[in-house]
Amino acid sequence: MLRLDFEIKRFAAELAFALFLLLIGVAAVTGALQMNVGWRDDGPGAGFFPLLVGLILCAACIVQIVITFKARRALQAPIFNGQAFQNLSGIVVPTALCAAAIPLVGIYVPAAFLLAYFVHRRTERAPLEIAAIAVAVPVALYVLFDLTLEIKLPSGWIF
Amino acid sequence: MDFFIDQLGLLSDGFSVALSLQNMLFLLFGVGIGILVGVLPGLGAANGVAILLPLTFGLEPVTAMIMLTATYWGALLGGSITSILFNIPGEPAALPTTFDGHPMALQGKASEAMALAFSSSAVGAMIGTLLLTFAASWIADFGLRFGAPEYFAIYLLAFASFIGMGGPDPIKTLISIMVGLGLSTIGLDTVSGDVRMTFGLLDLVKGISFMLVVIGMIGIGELLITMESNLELRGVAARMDPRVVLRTIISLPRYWVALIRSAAVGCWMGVLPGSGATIASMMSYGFARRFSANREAFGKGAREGVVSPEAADHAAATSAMLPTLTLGIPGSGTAAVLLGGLLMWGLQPGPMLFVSQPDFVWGLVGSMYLGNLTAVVVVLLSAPLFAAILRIPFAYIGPVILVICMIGAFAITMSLFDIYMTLIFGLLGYLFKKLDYPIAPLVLALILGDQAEESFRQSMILSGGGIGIFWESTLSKVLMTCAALALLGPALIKNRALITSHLRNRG
Amino acid sequence: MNSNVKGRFFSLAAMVSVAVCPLPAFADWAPENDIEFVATSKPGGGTDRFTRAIQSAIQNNGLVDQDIRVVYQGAANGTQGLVYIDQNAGDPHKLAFATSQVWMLPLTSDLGYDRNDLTPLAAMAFDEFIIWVNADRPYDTVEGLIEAARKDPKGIKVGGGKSKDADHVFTKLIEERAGVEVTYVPYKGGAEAAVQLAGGHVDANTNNPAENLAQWQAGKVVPLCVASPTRMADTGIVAQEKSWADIPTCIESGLDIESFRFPRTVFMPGDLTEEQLAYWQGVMEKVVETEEWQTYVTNSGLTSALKVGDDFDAFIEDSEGVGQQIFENAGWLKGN
Repeated sequence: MLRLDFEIKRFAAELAFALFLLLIGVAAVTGALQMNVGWRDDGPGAGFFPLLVGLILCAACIVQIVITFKARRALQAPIFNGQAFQNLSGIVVPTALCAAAIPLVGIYVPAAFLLAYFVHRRTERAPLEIAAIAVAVPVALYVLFDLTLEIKLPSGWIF
Repeated sequence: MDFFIDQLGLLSDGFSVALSLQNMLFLLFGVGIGILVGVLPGLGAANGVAILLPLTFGLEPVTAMIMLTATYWGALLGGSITSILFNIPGEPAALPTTFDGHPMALQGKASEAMALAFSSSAVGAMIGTLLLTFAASWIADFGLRFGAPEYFAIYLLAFASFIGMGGPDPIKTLISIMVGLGLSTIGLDTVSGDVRMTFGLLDLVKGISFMLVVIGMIGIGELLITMESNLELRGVAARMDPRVVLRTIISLPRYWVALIRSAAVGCWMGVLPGSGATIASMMSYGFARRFSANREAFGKGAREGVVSPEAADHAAATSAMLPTLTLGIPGSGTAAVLLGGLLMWGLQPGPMLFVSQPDFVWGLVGSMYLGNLTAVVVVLLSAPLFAAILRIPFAYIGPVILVICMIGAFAITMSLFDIYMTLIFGLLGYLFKKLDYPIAPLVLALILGDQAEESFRQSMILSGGGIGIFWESTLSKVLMTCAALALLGPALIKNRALITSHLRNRG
Repeated sequence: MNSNVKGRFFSLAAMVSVAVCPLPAFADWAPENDIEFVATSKPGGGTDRFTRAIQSAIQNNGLVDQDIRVVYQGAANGTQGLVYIDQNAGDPHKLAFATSQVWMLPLTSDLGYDRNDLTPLAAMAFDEFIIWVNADRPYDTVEGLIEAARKDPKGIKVGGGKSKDADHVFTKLIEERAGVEVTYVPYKGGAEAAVQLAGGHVDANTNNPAENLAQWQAGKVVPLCVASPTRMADTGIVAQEKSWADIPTCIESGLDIESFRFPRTVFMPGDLTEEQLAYWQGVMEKVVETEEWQTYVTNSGLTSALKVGDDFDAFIEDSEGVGQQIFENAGWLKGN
């Protein structure tokens, strides 16, 4: 079972994020180097700007990391804890599941489930009412998008 | 003087064409669909118009054009509604409206914010249409003077106007801009024909649409931040009080400086092929903040922060019709779709269009006045409907917003992959907001980055690698100087005491 | 799920599986589901108009019973749409509308589809290539332009749509055949190249007739020659008291390019049956006889010419060969 009484200090969070962005910068530099990075007489090659951007990003991230260390003492307040994690998971996990299901069953079915889940967890409505709402909304969306605006949304195997 | 009288005569003929029952009905229909499309995130004016285009096959060209342009105005207005009420721009051009419009809504001033937005839009639209009425061929010729170096200078100016947007932390702002620039390079490179930074992922060949990033980082990110502390998306008591609306509209002339300036920026961006309403609204916001006496108020509910982008984007949208009609070059993305419609109906845009099809052109211009005013009235009346939505508990509205965001992301290019991208950007947006990294510079860098780079490299090709090309033509010299001033201006002003004393000691 | 929903689910599933079961193969196949026309461009572009012209020709004349929906998949030069078609092998309800990009683009980069996996349906119209110059330039014949290019290597600037695409290839061809070097400036598309030429920011461009027409009418650009075996057919006055037929061919003007044309093509997913292919070929054959098609072709300055089956295959081989050679000389081939 997940221990939900942890705490993350702002310092750690800032550090981790800056490191993450640094990695992105490194990825950008790597990607850029695979292309032409020179400046020939018709101007900079395709890789020139990505390289420049990547390098500046890396430099800025390193500076940010240094700044974070220097301000270590001021950043000891917790910024994230188990409760926040729980709250967030309550939205991230169902949404991720919904999105993962879309290629299989289209968007209307997972949307219905997502709605049902939220209503169930946050209100006191009877299951029948929840089911009614959960079906009505996707149907309304279908009418709006597929019929009126003629945009065919992903429909997976079923619909 | 004769010229003006002639133009007015043509315009009145145009009004009589526009005021036919059929045309007015289609105008209303277009406005309705436009507002609907505008309110939905991910569906912008361009998609909306493209979707309606097939429905116009059997119509008279002027009726079809009236309906489609009405959709355009409606979509821009609808986008502002969601910007103000939900902090999610329903249309790309409505992004800056979230900066001050949403804080105003949170302060209980939703009616006021919307009334401001809509009335400024009307003013911007009127100015743009006036330009079209009287200055069409002159402006079109001016637009032709823009080559690659001039475009680069414009992008630089747009960037400079926004550079102060980051807030107190310069390093984080820099990081944000770099991430945005990096993201903008992903995809097919016009200048070399190569595919860049896709790391083998085919779905990235089309690049990353900034709408994706806006929906994800700003829309979903906002949801996550709210959820984290288990708050509710606060249901603001937003009844459209007619007295508030009227009072706000009457107070509009107070902002005449912002209105004129924004309309100018908007008209300029609209007339230039390839820019358009989104860049216009962002630039206008940036300038408003720059030139305001009360800079700290921006971002917290400053009225000028709503007036400026709204006037600009509507001015841009209407004046985008100018190059579209007179040169056959679209002044904005949506105008490009409209241009396709023109060609489809057998009309040949160009200077000859005004001469060979006066009924069409002037009927359209007449409808632009009517259409924009009608759209504003319709949206003022229907706004309470949308305001009421905010009072629905988060349990119901949260997942619906999530689903609509996913649909919106999908609809940009009908791609499943984009749904995942937007969710990932949602997480990234949460992290950005949590750790105080500003998002606006990222979005601007994303929009402008690729274009600016392209113009720069085209300029290099033209000049054979020499930087001097940016100071060749008068136009680009002027623009580059403006950009430099915009960049350095605030720093100079802040330190002017230092500078003057330094100069005094020297001399 | 409660039992009501379950029951509904199963009966729906049953209905669906019956519907998609392969029907006994009758001699004449006809589409069963809605049709998707995939336009490999943004709304309003040349390919979009091509797609919609065919859509309206079919719908107004009742050539196909099903609903036709136009979908835009234009990213990355239209590759998005072609990849989509590639992924839907065996589906006879999707058609992609494109140009020669289908076989030209893969020569220079890996784009995620193999053009041999797609089924070529037809080439239906040809967009001519004209060499245009800015009206204020001193040269008003092809010879004049080539002279100027010879005197100033890389000094003449030619604007075109995109890099390593048709305009660029044509420019390379001109360089080869005329023995000169020019500077090619890639813009986002033909429309932008048209404006840049009108504004005098480049000296020449290689746009299709429709792309520069408005500028010609405004007196800002002048056509020098058309890369076609014969002059264009339209003798109606279109601009500056001239007609399309007044433009000399490149051969006539002393430039050894007999033909360089942009075909507007239709491709379908791979693995189709003979009957399905024959059905759509038949539809396209009827389309080119319709009034809607004629109007589209005339308004767009295109040459209508239908190529299906072996004819079309041979055309593709040819065109691919020319492209291959030019790309090799220019060093653009994949893997360089």
